[in-house]
Amino acid sequence: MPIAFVRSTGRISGNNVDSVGGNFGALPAAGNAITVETSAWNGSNADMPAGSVTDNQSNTYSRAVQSPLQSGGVCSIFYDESIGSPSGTHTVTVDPTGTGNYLEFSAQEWSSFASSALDKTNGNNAASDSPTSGSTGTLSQADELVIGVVGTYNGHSDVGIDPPSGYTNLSLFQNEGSTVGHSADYMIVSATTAQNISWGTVFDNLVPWGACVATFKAAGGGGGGDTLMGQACL
Amino acid sequence: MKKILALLTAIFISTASADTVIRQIPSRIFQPGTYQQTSDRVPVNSTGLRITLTREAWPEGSVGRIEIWFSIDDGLTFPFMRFANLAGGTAFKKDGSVDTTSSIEMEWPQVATGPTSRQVLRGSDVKAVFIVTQALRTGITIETLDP
Repeated sequence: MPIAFVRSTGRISGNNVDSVGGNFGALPAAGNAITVETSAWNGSNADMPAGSVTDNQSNTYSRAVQSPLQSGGVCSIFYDESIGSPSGTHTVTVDPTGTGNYLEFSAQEWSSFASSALDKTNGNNAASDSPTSGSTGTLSQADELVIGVVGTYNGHSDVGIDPPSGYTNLSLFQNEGSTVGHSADYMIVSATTAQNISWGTVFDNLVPWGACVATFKAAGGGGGGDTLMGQACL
Repeated sequence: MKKILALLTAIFISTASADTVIRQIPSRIFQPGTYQQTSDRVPVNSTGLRITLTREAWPEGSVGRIEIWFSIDDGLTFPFMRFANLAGGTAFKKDGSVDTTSSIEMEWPQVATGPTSRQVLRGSDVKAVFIVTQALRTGITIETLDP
């Protein structure tokens, strides 16, 4: 069964803060997955180690991937593939290292994650006008969720991130002078083709950026393309 | 001529800023406690809200928290919330200068209206909460984010 988007917190941001958080407008369902995509910068080099993402429901979020540090900024993807039964209000908090943080994030609920869902990841960084995630390599199965994040860490009020073609945008913020430039995007794929996400051409070739991608397997996703082809030949 | 220049200047200033200040609290010392501001109706043409605090020699360590709550049922419940925890000390912008403010934003939530459609809800109640854990001096500006 393919993974399906259920709901998002929407964009959550903080300028010169210790940590930020926000809630889902309705409670996620027990057993569903939650992913959290972040971009953060601070003057002492931002970092999002394990434990940087928490919620008020005692779920544990693992870091799928973090981009290499670029000019004080990093982006990352965290996830919990099967949350417990939430009650009250479900609030997600992001707390990078340091206290003077400039960050953007959003969290999403998904259905039909496999157990041990994390498949492929990649992190990338540079100072250039063409942020890309780098390739995931061939996916392990056909039905997967691909999530990409880019963060930019300069001062442009409109850095010009282009949400990647074929992907659905989850959160977009262009004013890196206010916090950080940020785009989080997803695509649900039905083939094992390697993914390399491009966010177009940004302001100029001096923009420092970090980007990362993670793929998650759907429950009952079967094998890769070769296996399916082999079955067809029987 | 001066009046024309003043008018042109005013027009330029009003159009240069995309956002609208709806409440400004002058700088003063806030003692530990909880401070709340509720607005019955946020402007229908806005896309969100920003709260900015001036950092005036805040003490080191955790100093407090700001929250924005958004209601879609005329203030009966506030299901949408954003918050930021605040720490004192000096923080620097990307250009290396000292950053003298802290802020958070809430974009008005998009609420599911069907299997595939979502709409942005505007014109609803909103409240801002400022929780102070160490006495600090700050001024507060609340702005709507305008398209």
